[in-house]
Amino acid sequence: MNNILKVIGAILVLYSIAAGMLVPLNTGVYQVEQLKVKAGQEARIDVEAYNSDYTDATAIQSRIRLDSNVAICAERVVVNDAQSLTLFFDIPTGKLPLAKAKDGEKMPFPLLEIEDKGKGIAVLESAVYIEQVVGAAPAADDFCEVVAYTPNPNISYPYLNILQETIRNLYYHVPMWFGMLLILFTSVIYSILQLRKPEQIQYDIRANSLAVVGLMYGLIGIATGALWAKHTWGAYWSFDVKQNTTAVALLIYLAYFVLRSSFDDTDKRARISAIYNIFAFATLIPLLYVVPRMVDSLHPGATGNPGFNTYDLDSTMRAIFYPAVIGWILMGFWFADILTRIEKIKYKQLDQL
Amino acid sequence: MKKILNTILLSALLTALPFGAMAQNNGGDFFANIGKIYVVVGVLLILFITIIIFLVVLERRLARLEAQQDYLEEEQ
Repeated sequence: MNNILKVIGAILVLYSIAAGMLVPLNTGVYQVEQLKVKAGQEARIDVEAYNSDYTDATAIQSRIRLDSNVAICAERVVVNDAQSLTLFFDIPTGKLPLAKAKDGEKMPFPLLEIEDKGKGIAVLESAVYIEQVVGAAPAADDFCEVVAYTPNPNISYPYLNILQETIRNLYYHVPMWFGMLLILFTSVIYSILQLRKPEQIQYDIRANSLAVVGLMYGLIGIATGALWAKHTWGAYWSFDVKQNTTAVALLIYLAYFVLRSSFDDTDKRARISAIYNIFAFATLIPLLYVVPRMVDSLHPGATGNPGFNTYDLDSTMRAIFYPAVIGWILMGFWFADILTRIEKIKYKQLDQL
Repeated sequence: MKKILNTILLSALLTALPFGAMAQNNGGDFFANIGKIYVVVGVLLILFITIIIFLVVLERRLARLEAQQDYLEEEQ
């Protein structure tokens, strides 16, 4: 393996760790007190924010969005401390033009927005429950004009409830799966080469080393995923379809090493394990990339759209995520390269004995 | 060994104490402090511990090869 690739891999991994840990989260609404407000009355909402730096009440604008273009603006904002606000709203009486939930879509309204001028915006979906009263629709001047907010000027990651800081795990958990797939695919290519040229035992050695590293990435992925799941989904193992199928896929690859160790004859081992490797990879693809998409899963992007959408992954995160993927792939090939060289020496020594 | 372990645990606890004051409503879950940042720390630790185990495996294989090399040289 080319030394330049190793340097690039190491730099990208270090960059993803440094940038992944150093960039702060955007301001977010951590908690609201007063979940139920009544139409026709003044509503007082106490807000606990995350990563906020509230100082000047006049710079803070807050609104409850009822629909994409209708909002009630806060009539008064009180700054309790840097992370705590009290908002006062005059909720108009009568039938409010609240957005209706569409089938199968998440209903974000009433959406609470707190904009701190020049410091970004904090958003909480389905923030409050508005108890409505029967009556004529309120006048237009009860609502305020919805202005486009100025985006956060500082570089930051999105704040999502439940996920919070663990959104950074995207750079340390997901690249493992991307890396595993590519490394195992390369392993299959060497297995095919081995079958075409049985006298070249080095192909078998390479296929084995790549499978070792691929399995290691898979184990890292499943262990980090379990820890992440514990603190976001509530359990280390919630028998999510993707968790189950990856566990099966990893067991199939474990059997590859059991199979290898059961042969004494090098040629026989090379041939049979190459065939097994091809079949193992052929089952890996449906287990990891087809079955999880056919049923409901806790994983993002399940059922239907498999990739990240704009909501899951913003441009700041992409700028760290893709380098992380490339970095860990290159590191994986480096690991496999070292293992291959050690194994080659072993075969040479076996010839001498 | 037990003494070392106790020292490590105690120092970890002492470093964690100031953060405990910043703890939000986490129901006594240490990992949930400061926006669950310790989950990320845990994930990075798993990552590097696995790589270290891999390095140990490599080292042991190399050690075996070195021993075999010595044996081969002696025979010649």
